[in-house]
Amino acid sequence: MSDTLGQVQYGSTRNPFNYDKFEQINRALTTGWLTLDEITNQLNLFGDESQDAYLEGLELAVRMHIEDYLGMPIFPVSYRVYYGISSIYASPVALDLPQVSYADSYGSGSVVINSVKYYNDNIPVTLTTLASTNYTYDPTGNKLILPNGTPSDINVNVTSPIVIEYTVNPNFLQAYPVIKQAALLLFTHLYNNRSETVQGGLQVIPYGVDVLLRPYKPLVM
Amino acid sequence: MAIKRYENVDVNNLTFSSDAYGQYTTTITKKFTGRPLISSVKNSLTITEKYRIYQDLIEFKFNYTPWMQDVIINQNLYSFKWRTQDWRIESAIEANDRMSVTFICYRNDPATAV
Repeated sequence: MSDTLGQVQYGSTRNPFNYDKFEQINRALTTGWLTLDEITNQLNLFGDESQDAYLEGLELAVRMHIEDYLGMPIFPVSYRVYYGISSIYASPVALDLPQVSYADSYGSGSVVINSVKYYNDNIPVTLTTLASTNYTYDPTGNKLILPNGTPSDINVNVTSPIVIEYTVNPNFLQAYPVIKQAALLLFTHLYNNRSETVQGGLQVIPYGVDVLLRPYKPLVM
Repeated sequence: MAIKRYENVDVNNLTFSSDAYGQYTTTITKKFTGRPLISSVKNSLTITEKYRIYQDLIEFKFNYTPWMQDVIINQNLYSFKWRTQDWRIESAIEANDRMSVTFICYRNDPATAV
């Protein structure tokens, strides 16, 4: 019997972070999350509408930071992930997504696989789409499983021959008042401090943005 | 002791005209409701031989916005309505970082016969 010390059962299907690189390919850059009413009340601007366009621009930056901090989309975000040749020598092939999914029974925060493509061994190489019958998404492990392995004509000379594109749906956590309150605190900070430098030292208040958001940041194992 | 808190204040436009008899009139039109920090409330009442003169001073500290900049530039064309009374701007003091503006205002009731 071979030495399996330190190996997880069915470890061959679990090869965390076996992607080469990933990039964001689509993100909501104009949709507002906090309402102008919420913002103007927070800033004590109230009925003063003369800065609305500026406030809406700042709101986008605040929302994007909350999304990035939590790794949780408030509006859909799409990614493209590249897998190297080393990740395909397993059976079945399991491709981890750079994603910690919150997928719940309501379908919020879930991952939708848009396409799985590979570079074939033609010259010049062609990016070929894999039929959806050849793969399945595992929402518990946030990975894509290719039960039949990779196509036989996959190009082994291309650095990252497998390309997956997927979209993460909005998460139900985005409606939590505590997360919105953290966003309003951050908003007030950015509104009041528009320069990178100040002469005096700023003091952080207790129960600020980090403390409010920390319980909702997923633990990556 | 200063009273310092955020309260709703109406920012009004003033338009001045005179009627057919040559009497000056001031029309007050609400522009928007703001929420400044209100401080240094001071009420004073002077009773002269013939008149009772109210002269109340107050500071309104607003966030610096494009509309507030217009109030700073044309301070004679604006008034604030707070506690149902109309306040005229005596001084507009901009913060050096252009993040806020403090208006020193007074309310000077028309001289009322004692």
